[in-house]
Amino acid sequence: MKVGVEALELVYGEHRAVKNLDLTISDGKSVVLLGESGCGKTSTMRCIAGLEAPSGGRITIGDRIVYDGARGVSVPPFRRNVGMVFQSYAVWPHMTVTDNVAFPLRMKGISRTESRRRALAVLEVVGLAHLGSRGASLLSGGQMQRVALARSMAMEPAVLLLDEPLSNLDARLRDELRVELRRIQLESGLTSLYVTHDQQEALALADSIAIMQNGRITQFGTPEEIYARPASASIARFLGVTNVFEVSAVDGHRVRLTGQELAVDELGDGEGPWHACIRPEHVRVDLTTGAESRAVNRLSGTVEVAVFQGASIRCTVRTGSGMVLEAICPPPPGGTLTAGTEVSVAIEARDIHLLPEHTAEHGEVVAA
Amino acid sequence: MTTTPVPTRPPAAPAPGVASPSPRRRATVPLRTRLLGLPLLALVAFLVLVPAGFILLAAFSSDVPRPGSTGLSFTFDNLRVVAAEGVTAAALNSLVIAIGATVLASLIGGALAFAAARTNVRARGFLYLIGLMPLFLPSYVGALAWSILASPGAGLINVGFRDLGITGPVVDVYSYGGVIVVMAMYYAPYAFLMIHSSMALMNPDLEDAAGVHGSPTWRALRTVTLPLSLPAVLGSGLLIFVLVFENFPVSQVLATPGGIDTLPTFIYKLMNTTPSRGNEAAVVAIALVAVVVLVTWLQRRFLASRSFTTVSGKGVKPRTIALGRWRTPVLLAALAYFLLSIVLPLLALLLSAVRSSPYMRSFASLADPGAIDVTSFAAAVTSDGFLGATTNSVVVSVAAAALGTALAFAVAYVVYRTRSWGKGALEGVSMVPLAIPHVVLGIGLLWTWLVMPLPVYGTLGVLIIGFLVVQMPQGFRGIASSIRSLDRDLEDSAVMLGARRVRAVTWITLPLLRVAVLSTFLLLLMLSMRELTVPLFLYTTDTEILSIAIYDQFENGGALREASATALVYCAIMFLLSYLPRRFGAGSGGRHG
Repeated sequence: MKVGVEALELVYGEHRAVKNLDLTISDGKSVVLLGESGCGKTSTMRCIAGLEAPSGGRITIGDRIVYDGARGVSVPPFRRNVGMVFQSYAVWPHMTVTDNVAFPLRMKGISRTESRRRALAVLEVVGLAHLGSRGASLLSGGQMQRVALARSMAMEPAVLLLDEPLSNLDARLRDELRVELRRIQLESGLTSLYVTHDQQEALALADSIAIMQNGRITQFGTPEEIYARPASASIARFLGVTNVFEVSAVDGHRVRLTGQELAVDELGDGEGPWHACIRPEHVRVDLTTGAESRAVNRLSGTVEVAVFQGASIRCTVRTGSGMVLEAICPPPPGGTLTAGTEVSVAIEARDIHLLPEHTAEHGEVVAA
Repeated sequence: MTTTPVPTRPPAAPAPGVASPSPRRRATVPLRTRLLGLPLLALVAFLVLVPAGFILLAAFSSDVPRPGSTGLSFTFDNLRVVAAEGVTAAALNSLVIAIGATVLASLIGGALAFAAARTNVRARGFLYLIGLMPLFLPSYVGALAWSILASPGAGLINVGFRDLGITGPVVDVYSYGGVIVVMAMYYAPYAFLMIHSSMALMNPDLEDAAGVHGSPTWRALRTVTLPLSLPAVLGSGLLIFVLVFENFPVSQVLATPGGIDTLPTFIYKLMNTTPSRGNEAAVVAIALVAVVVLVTWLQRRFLASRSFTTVSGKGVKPRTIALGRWRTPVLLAALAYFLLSIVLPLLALLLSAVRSSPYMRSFASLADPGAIDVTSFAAAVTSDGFLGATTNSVVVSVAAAALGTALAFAVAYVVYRTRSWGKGALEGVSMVPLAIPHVVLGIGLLWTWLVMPLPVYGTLGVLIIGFLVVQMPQGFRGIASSIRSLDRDLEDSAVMLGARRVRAVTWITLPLLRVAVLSTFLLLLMLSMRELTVPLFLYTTDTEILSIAIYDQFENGGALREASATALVYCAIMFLLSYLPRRFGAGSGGRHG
């Protein structure tokens, strides 16, 4: 079901954790709240769940108002029909897997046998039917995650909330379950809201990503949009853009950074001050200093550190003008990059984005 | 794209008076949640603060609270007692005994803990038991046994020496030294437990690091291990100081016959003179509370800083230190402590339980026909007095432990899981009994329930209430620590899945906490069984309990045999009750007399 959040406020003492936040999740879609820890994303989710008491605003699930600060409406969590997968999974260790999954059905007053049958059906979906009678404390992390998911799906929730669902798993399992989660979400058509600080997870799981900073949503868009066009330098940095330079002057389509001029395609809208943001993947590093390149921006420099990552090399290059660039590039043919290697660096003009430090929505930090 | 991007609004202009949400606005927590803790706070405050208030009131009043009058006539006259006979001496005595016993108990406990935790001493597992066992023997039973063993006149040890031709009392337990040693022996387990756990849980990497950086083993012990266990040493030391300082039964049994008054026995004496001088007792009581509060505060500060012992969650196995040729001598030293604290006292009780004559001139007289009569056990155990006291003890202790556990769960839940008003106060008031010595609490409870228009005084009910109040802090701490360590998501997820809060608590939280609940129950049961001081003020002839019965038989003389037999049976019960909670993983963490 569709979920709507309007002008949500959450205050702890003097601290405003969530500020005037608006968010809509369309029926059957998945939205990811992406942000650093402490940005208010989990608080927002707990407000929708009803576990946190907001200070103002309105939350609707389907056509039903579950919270309205102005009218004093607050539906208790157990009547909201909202599923939630906790970061810690919260799988009850004193029950079997089936008992865990059957719990919400028992709470709806469904008979013991019928709820067991349905619980097993849901366990089938997550691939755990064979572990039904096992005690839940004997499960591995990945299995607990699936039990928690199955338990929330069994209640056929109006919306499913997932709080950092993969953060407690090791890297390999995380990759696996990411795909699995997306498959289940798409097949079941469940309206979902994820909270995460991991951009890889966000890009994989979302129909739309809402970037959250400082209690507000500062950018909202599809994963492709967000990845290609971050709205501010602070968002870009968070999304793995490691080369961010202050722009000291703009002259036509040329910008001046500390000790270096670069050509750009697009100028930012509005006033500035600007930051030139370049993804490390877009910095090309070649062995031969005099190599032919049609790129507008050609610099020469020395490799300071190079780390071999298998498919690519991650390196830091100091240019002649003193600029330090991070680059991720394929291993150069006929040689390798090591500290001290003289290289030439090329950056396309279209790959340099001029962005303000923060979006206008970022709030107090801009003023400060 | 079906998901509609919603442009976020610009930051709300700070315009006071406009209906836009202002940052000052409080979270809209339902009123029902806010009010949840208030009835509980009222109950706990009534149980704890009224007795404390009566003490304060009586200190500045010319009359003590009695039925029909709360004794409200303001005066400063009582304060004269502080300057009068004996108070200063009693305070100094308390101080000397508490400091002496603390130092000695820390030495015994610390040395045993180090040997048991970190060396390859012979029979290491047994050493751990030696360190723990005196805890199972209520300290006043130990004191009674030691008065049989080492009283200057008829003490068994002195009798033995006389048999060997050495006349004159060789040992005299009715002295500063005697009181200090007996107190130290029975409070050493507290030091042992705390120091042992800090040493056993210490991450060996910390010491290994000192070794890697060039420090020899013994040097690493001194520069790393010792400083890391210092908070445990100081924390347990302050705890023992408070427990000894406010201890009434041991002082009453050992110090009073030697003409040494301590503050608790002085208060008791003021209460028991005719006419009773309760108002002056209240003044001395307040002075006693002040010292205990100060030291308890110090102790909590040290315990709070204990976290720097960097305990890691991994199953660590601390390095052991090779003692070489000291392996056996260290064990022998520990055995000496075991002999003095457990074996000799129990043997003394056994001997006086089966001896037909209460007096014995020489061990040789035991060989006389009829000198030993084992029927006294049967007689003691089947007497009406014993059966009545046992029934009362069981009823009172089970009821107090059950109610105490339920109350502790309710209080801890409200404090750590809800956003109720007054939960800070609730926690604070629940911990107040910790700062009030049992002698003082006993008097306060006596006055409270004499004055209350409820017909509780003179019934077992008043004893149950008394135990409930005295043990509130232990119950609260037992449940609170496990509630805090239980991930609250476990309960919240049940609510998300459609369970009402009450149902989530009963289906999820309570079952998950069953071990903690059960062990708290058993801990409270044990504490109730061994408590002597508070019921001493509250019991009446119909409501005698086991601890009182033993004390009574001893103090009023003449019934040494029955008392010894009862004490032995009582020790057996105590051992069982102490053993069970340990099986279920409950810490003792108690303060009891």
